[in-house]
Parts: sequence; C-alpha cells; structure tokens
Amino acid sequence: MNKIQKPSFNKVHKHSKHDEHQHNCGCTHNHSNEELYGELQEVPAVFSHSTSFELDKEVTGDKLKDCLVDWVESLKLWVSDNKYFIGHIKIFVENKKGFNLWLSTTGKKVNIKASGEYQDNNIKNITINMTAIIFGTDEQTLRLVTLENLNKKLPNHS
Amino acid sequence: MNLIIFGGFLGSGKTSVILSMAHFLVESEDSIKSNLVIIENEVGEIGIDDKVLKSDGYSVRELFAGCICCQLTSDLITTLNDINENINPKWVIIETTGLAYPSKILGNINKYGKGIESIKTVTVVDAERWDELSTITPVLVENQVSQGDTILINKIDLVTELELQEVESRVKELNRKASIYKVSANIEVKDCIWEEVTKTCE
Repeated sequence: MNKIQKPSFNKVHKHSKHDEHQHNCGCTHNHSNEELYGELQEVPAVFSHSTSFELDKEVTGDKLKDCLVDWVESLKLWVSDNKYFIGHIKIFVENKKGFNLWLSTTGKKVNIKASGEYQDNNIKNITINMTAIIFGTDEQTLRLVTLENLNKKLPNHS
Repeated sequence: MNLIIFGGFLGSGKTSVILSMAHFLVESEDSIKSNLVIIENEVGEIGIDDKVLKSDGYSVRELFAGCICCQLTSDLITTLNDINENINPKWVIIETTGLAYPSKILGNINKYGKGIESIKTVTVVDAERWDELSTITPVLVENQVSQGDTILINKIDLVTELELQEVESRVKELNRKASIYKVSANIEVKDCIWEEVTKTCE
C-alpha cells in the first residue's frame, strides 16, 4: 500500500481529541466522543444522476460494459490528475428486458457484476443510475466532469 | 426484530457482504425472505445498492440523500417502527452510508426504536485502502472500527500477508473487544462467520 499525502479539504471546524480530565476548551458542557467526532468535517462532493435513453443502434452487453468502464476510467484519471480522492463511484445499469450491470470502484480496479442475461443481450434502451463521491472537489465541478465524460464515452444516443 | 447494522467506509464492500449474509439468512432452515428486511441508506439522491439488492429478490426500504446518523435520524426511526408494526421480520439489516458514525445510530435506535430484541454492529474494513483512509479520514475510520461488535476485514485477496497483519494489528488496537474475521466478499464469506454473528443475536 502506498503512502499518500492528505489533500486539503474544507474543514469547517476542527476539534482536537481530548479527554474529560484535560478538558479546558472554555465551554460549559461535557464533550462526548461522538460530539467531537461529529464536528470534524470530512466532507466529500456527492453527485447522483439517473438517465434513460435510446441508443442509435443496438449494442451488445460487452460493448456497453466497455463504454461504461471507459467512463469510470476517465473519472479515475481526472481524480488522479487533480490529486483528489475517490470515496466511491458506483453505477447500476438496467433495462426492461432484465439486463443488469453493476460497476463500482474506489480508484483501484473497476468491479463489474452482471445479470445472467448480460452476455446475450442486444441493447437499445437503457437506464443508467450513478453516484460519485469524491473528496477534494465540489459538487458542481463533479457534475460537469461526470456528465461530459459520459457523453464522450457512450455510443451515439438520444 | 434482530437488528444488524453494517458500517464501514465508502467502498469497503458492505453491499457485497450484506448480499452474502442475506443469502445465508434466507437459506437457513427456518428462514424465508419475508423474515428479512434490508434498510438501505445512501448519501446520494439516487440509490444504487438498493437496486443491486432488489435484483436478488430482497425486500429493501430506501433512505436516500443523507445519512441516518444525522440528517435522516427521524426517517430511520419511522421506517424501523413501520417495519415492526407491518412486517415484524425476524431480521432487519441496516446498511449505513460509508460516512456514518455507528454510535450515533445506535443511540437513537436504543432510545426510540420499538420491537427490537437485539442490535449488533458489524464494521467492514477495506484492507486494500486502510493506509489511505487512515490518512484522509482518520476520525471517521477509527470511530467506525471502534464501534463494531464484529469487524470484517474485507478484500484480503488484494493485499499481501504483511499488509494484512498491519491492518489487523491496527484494528485490534482500536477495538479489543470485537470479534475479527478476515474475508473476501467478492469470493466468499463462509457460513460459519454468519453463524457466529447471528448466534449472538438470538
């Protein structure tokens, strides 16, 4: 495992840990551990998106999977180039014919799980649900980059 | 109802582990699918893990766009009490977001939850990212580990023996009381682990 440098997040309020005997922060109540932990903000940007569309022509499950993996890889590259940190990126793709594909990554390998019908499917209509949780950036930038890369990587669609 | 709360950082493998446990519970001699309800909490506005669990035929209740340890506390209690009144299953599994503090959830459930016979907290640890997560979100990770009754060190197939020993040793330092198991949920979680987890609940 590689040692990494901690990115600078927007920590709104940071308490150092202390026990009751060393409690001299000036307030009039007792701090529980939960209260202290809760005040340390380790807040990622979260972007969720769901979209349904029709591809211009049918594609195989494998072809669609490759496009989605490319999409996830492009997000991983963007995170790495900017020295951000992936909390989790997860995607669930489905259609009405029982096609299910689940992709997820924490920045290492992209994990892929699929339904039994995945190999044989010729796919034209799909719904993509995704959530990206990234430390170090903001939600607006994350949304922009995620959707821009999705449009680049998917086959022609409307 | 017996509650099992699954905590652990984002991407640690909670959903995969829950799929394994859910399978174990419904395959057990005296269990049927209606004896299990899964509450899925996700920080995003759109659920992903609930769809994965539903595609395997499980009964799932969703709590999205926030965390049940803070913004969605009352929604969790309402959902739990509704499940108790209308379904009263033997098992309720709660998958928390990877950003949740289990101690806060436990406190609220103990105070306001109805019909609960036992509560157990299982923390899933990502062995592959332990070093990174301990650096980037140390308070959260330490809190999640220290609050677990059972710790599952997951993704052991992705680290070396030495790295695994380091993770295990650090986990033991943070939580001396918990039962610790090393697993790879993508490959298999052995039934004997689930037998141990459920035995202490009943």
